[in-house]
Amino acid sequence: MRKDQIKLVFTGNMGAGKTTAIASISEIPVINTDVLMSSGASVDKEKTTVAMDYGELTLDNGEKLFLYGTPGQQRFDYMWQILIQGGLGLIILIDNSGVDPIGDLARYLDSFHDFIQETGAVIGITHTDDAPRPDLQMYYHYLQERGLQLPVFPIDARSRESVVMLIQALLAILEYG
Amino acid sequence: MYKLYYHALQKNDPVFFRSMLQLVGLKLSQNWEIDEHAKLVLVDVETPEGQSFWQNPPAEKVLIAYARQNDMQSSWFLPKPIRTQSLIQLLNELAEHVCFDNDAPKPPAKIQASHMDVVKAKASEFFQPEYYLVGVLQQILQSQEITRASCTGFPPLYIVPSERRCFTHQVQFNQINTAQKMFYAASIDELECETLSTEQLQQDIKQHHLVAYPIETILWLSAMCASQGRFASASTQNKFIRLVQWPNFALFPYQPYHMNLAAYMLKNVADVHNIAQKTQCSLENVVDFTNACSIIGILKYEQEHKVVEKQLPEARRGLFKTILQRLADTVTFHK
Repeated sequence: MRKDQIKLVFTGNMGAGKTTAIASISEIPVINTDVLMSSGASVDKEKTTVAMDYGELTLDNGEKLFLYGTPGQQRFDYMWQILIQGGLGLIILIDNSGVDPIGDLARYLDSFHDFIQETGAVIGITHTDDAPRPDLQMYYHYLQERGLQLPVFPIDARSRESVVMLIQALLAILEYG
Repeated sequence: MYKLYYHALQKNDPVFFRSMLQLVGLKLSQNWEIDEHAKLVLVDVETPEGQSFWQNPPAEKVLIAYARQNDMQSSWFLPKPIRTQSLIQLLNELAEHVCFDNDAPKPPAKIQASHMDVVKAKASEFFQPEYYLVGVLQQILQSQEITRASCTGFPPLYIVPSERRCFTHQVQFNQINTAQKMFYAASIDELECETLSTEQLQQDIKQHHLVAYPIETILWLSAMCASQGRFASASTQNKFIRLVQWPNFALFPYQPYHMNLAAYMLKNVADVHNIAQKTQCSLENVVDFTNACSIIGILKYEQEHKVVEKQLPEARRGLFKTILQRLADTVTFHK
């Protein structure tokens, strides 16, 4: 993995939709290392990503935009710092039907604190149809407490438009925020 | 006895408010008392708690914005600090127009305006939301009555205030055409509003296969369409503004430059001319965006200009542009 790659990094808890989000905009089938779930995971998902997801998009000038998804399980979080090196910014996906979605967000904001300060991040909340709470205002309250002004959008990771919206917001922050 | 309560008032304001209410009692058309279960709630929208409450009010509550200026463009507004005359005027108008008793016959929503007033508003160089669909929606929200808003040649819009939802025919909000924009920009004299029972609403939903949309989507779109690059007032153009949070673009139809405006206005406090210059947006687009943000309650006026200069290499700007172009290839936004 070259450090001068143009890349976006997707992170988030298990089942939040990182693989699906990357697949929705990648022009190649997403390459991942899904394996059978280890015990103790509470999410209704048979496989999870232990190393990373990888997708790509060829830009009009021929350059490639690389799309990486971090491993979902926390025991692989040593990979996170490797993956984000040289990244343009971070897309955090939070599964709202999880046990503690705001706690999950806190964990990613802590883990990627320096990277977010240097670049920027956007937050996509998934599964809001199944779990409407915490609502958007609760996320904004939490961010306000931390002195952050990051955008939070409810999204459908399967929808290309949703994922494009997250990237548009991220690039807007990087350029104007 | 008419009742009201308050939310997110700061420091001595609750005590002051109670005292003022007693003081003006004899000059009011009705008797008023403080009751925590009241339908009417005075909200200090200058506090984070008040802003949050304003954006997600409990069902059946009618909110009164309490602030130094009516940045929310609320139908019901009490200026800070509380003065006797403004309090008397507000309470007497509320007593006249808000339905307090669920068993009492419900008056029609207050949506009339003289033809001359509407003509003046449409010709005005300033945007007066109360003369357009957006203002009608705000009034219907305050009235708490299920209402059908119709405009000749367009499918009607059913507003359900208690659910903060609208029902209408399916709309691709990011691809609305000129004719649809005309509906969302309709003036008050072009709209016919009729209150409905829940049964009538359910019947129409079933019969016409209506789809539900959040009221915020319609408020945003109708403000955008009716604003037409006009400032809310002469003084607005020189005021320093910022956003308090990101517009929910998952609900609001947007164009990519709206993202740039939001990012800039979250970080900086500036006037619209400065915002237009820094984001390379037209002044009209900035004004429309700020009017829509004001309607949904995420715009704040500030006393001081505060801009953080950001130097981004041209190569990086070019890269972002290339990425956005590539992403836009298969996603169409309305023009």
